[in-house]
Amino acid sequence: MGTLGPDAVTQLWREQSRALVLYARQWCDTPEDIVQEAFLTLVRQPDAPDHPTGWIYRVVRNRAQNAGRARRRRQSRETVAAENRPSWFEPGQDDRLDADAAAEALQQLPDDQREAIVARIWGGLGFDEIARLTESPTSSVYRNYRRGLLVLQERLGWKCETPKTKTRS
Amino acid sequence: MRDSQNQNAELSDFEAALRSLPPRADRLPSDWPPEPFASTDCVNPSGHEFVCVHCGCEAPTTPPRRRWAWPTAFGAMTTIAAVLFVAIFLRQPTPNVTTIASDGSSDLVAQPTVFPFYVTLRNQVLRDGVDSWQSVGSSDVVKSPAHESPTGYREQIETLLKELNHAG
Repeated sequence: MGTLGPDAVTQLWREQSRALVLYARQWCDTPEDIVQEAFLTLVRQPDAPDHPTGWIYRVVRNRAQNAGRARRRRQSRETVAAENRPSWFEPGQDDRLDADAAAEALQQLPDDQREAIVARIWGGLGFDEIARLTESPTSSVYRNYRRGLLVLQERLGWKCETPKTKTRS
Repeated sequence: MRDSQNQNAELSDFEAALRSLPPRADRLPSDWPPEPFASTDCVNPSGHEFVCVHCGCEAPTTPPRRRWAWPTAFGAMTTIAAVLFVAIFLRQPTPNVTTIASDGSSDLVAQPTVFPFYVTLRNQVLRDGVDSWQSVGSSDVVKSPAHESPTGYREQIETLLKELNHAG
């Protein structure tokens, strides 16, 4: 098994870098650095991992959690940093959702629900991959995901605009 | 049934709306990974970072020179401790015995030992008080009982009895 080719690394970067930044932002303030370091580590691997996407999510998760723990130790600086914390999203094309409100609602979710939603929606990971990533049963991941989505829907006051199934009058 | 279908459709729509929000990554360089870096073959395998392919955990990156420093120090300390432990058991304590001359040979009698001096001093101090220490200490030679009187115990008793009879 050889190293991961440059094309594969570039493609992975284009597909996942932003999602990985959002994923790492759950735990730390410097998600971009974490993601770049993780990609450097991937490039330097003598043997390419079997599932590069899951692998890099795992590396980003470990490093972001470590960085988050280190940040919590510097508790005095945190209040200053929290005020200047950038939003999690850029304004989207869909004007039905406010980016800041969505970020705030997402931050208020429990960790396991938020992680499942970020990995599923923006990372495009399957439930079984998220289960391996978080070392929890697939059913729990699915339950957390669905419950989190419902909570988000409620908090954001989401109203579906798709036509509902008509009932016979 | 219909409610769950509606809920699923609603959730799918909500998922799509969420997905349309692009994650912010302002500090992420747009030209990363740099092409030369990504396409260069590795010529320095010793510079690799090793991360477990399965779990993503990082292996320790301690340089080889420092990797055996702790085991070496541990081995050396253990050896020293073992040697000291054995030495404690092998060490023979030297007996601290004071020999008291009890026979009548002339050279032993001429050199009074420490023990009678101590006994004499102790008895005098107990009898007459600490002030009498000076008088005892000032005497250069403390004579042993054997030197004082060559007579034996029985003769001393007889002498004492005679004196009592005379006094009586």
